[in-house]
Amino acid sequence: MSVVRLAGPLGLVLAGCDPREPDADAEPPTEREQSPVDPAPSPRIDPEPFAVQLVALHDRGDTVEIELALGRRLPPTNASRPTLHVGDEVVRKSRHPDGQLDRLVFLVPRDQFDRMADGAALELRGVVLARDGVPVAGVLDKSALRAP
Amino acid sequence: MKKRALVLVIAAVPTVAQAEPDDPGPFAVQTDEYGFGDAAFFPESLAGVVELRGVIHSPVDLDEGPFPIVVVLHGRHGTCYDPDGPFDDPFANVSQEWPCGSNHEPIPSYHGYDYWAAQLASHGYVVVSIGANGINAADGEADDGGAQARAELIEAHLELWQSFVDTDEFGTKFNDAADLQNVGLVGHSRGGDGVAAFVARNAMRTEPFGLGGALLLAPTDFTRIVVPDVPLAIMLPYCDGDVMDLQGVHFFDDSRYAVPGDATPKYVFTMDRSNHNFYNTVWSPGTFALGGAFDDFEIPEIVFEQLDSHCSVAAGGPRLGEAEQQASFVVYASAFFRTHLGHETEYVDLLRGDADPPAAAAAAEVRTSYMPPDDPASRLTVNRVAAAASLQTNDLGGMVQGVDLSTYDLCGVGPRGGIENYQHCILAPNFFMGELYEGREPHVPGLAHLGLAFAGESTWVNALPEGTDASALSYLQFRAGVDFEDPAAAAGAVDFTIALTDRAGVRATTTLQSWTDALARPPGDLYPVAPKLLLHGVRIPLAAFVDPTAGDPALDLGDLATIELAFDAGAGALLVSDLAFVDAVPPPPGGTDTSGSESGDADTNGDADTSGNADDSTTGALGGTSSSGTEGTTGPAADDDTGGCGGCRSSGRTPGALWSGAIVLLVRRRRRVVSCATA
Repeated sequence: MSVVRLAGPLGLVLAGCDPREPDADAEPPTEREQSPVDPAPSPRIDPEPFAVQLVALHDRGDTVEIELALGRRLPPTNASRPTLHVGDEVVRKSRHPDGQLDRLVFLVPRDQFDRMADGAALELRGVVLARDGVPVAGVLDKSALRAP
Repeated sequence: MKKRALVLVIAAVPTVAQAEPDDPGPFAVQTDEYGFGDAAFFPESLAGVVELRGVIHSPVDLDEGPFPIVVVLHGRHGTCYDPDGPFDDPFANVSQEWPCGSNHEPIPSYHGYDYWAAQLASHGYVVVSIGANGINAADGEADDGGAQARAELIEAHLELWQSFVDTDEFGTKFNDAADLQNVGLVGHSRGGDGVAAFVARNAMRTEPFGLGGALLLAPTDFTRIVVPDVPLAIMLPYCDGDVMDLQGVHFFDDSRYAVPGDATPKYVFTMDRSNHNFYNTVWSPGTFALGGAFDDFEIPEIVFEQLDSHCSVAAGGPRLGEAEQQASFVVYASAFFRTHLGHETEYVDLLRGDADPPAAAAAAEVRTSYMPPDDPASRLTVNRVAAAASLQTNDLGGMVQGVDLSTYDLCGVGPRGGIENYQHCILAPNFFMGELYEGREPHVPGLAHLGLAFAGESTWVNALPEGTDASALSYLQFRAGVDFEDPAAAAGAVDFTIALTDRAGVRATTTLQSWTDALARPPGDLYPVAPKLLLHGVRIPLAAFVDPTAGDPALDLGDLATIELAFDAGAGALLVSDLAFVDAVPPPPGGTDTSGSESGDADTNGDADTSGNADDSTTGALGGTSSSGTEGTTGPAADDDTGGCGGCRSSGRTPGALWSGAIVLLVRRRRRVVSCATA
């Protein structure tokens, strides 16, 4: 299996360090952080800037696939369900192509795709990755729809 | 934690060591595994192939069977890993595909419960944990997140076991080994949704399997499936970093009154200090380092860029380790199935929240909610708090009043009790990733809560119509939680008076804290994940209100007039639901239980006690009862020769020992002198 990787700092990285390690840029520790309790260091997942971008639009006949590349691997979890919002249209079905956790393909019924406004923003919601704002994977460009 | 209002200060001789639910059983256990390939099953509701694979833990001596069978279904997780790495993060070598690609191996999530399966099998059970990686790889394409596909998979495995009646892939080894009319189900996370869907699917079968219990562990609930007519347990890890909103509590909330005459009990066990993944050893980094295992509470820490004082290990929060968390699961899961499949009665008190958990589960500080079967012998619902009308009239037709309460309102539902136009129970629900998020109010939407706030003397009164007879029932119970947004919500537990009045005017009272400290401000400070507004069960033995030795007129439980929650000190705010009299009075020693409860659910409360717990009728009187014929007053504290009331909050349970009936009787005679809750 070939795994396509985006350029740049991708994926969730294991910090490999105690998050309480002094950091010159860090804010002074709060009272809670100065707790005398000293738990064993736990592997930590570094927060990284979240990025998502449109990779391709695939024409599969009755279905259009909108493929996104994610700036980090989505942890396979249970409660999160990615949704793609394109204007008023919401797409709820997706899969990871070739199982890649940093790729998402949304499956859009043709009639729903036809209702989507060209130029509408592609918003990724419902995934537990970022607090502020909604990641936008660019805008819908129907002229980029590729035949299989 | 359940409080016991009695300290046994009398020397007693332990007679027999008490068995805890997590103790190993008498059967030697064997492990087998079956598999029919990665593409052996094609669910109708999923665009993907699924493995038909399971690991079996069973007694070696299968001739002793047939045994109850428990099917375990794991949740959604990575499906494949590359054994060659990279290992620079938990997901670097993980993929979500099925079957696994070249150089990848299946992540054996179905082996993650072996620790418990072996323990339960030793008590005479066949436990089959099944693989569902194929569903995990494709459930993003299913409208319901794969719930129906998982239900189909459970059915396929049970049908496979049905075929073992005549022959099986192990020769004849498992012929007739499992009793398919006594089936238990466990579903973790999306597996819980799948179990719920299977219960509904099974009911539609021409020849349904006999379901004896369903335990949903940190379940998702995408489609609000109702799970009636099967003993149901929901286990909620308070520090769940995956199903952060604890949406699985809906299964309890939605099912508890769904079917009139539902003869099965339901439970919620809220496991404090516990996360989502550590119940599965393959999802736990300490025991599976090959890929995909992680501490899920790190997700909200990252997303919200903050640690939680209670749930974050890195902040010194008192989270349980992997082994501790698994030990707590063994206790409650085994107690549940041994009660409802094995028809043992020893753990009924534990399941209902009337007994402290054994040591292995103590650290989880389990809170319990219990809903008895819907039959008159087990449940007399006073006020379920169903809709706005419940604030004026209860289920028995009696008048309801909030007297001098500063808040008296309904939340969690709309005005008619549905979820349309529902009202939040907290002031600041969050929008998370563009969606409304109820992470701090798990019961919402769907559960009607009565919100009440008090500052000074005030009362919630439920009048009971003439002829209200609770004399055949054992407990007064309700569910309640502390409104953590209220400025008066302090770290300490809330306290107030609970009063029953009969038609002769006899008013008997007890205090909440004599029985439970469950109503404390919920922990945590990671907005918008914690604290969580969760309701917990409060159960007070009716014997607490009837003390014939008190010298005052005894309350007549056969002719009750009112129930009051009386707030006579301090300030605070609560959410309340499900006020009821419950649990049949047990028969006298040597008598026959006529409670009508289902088999295996025999009430042991108040029996000649052989459990090591003080008898309920005894502890009831000791739990702060006062009885007075004078309206509105609290009876005088009884003489106390125990040295003060501190001891009355201690546990009367003595693990590892049984107390002889003679000692219990002696304590009964002495109950008057150790009563102190009103002091």
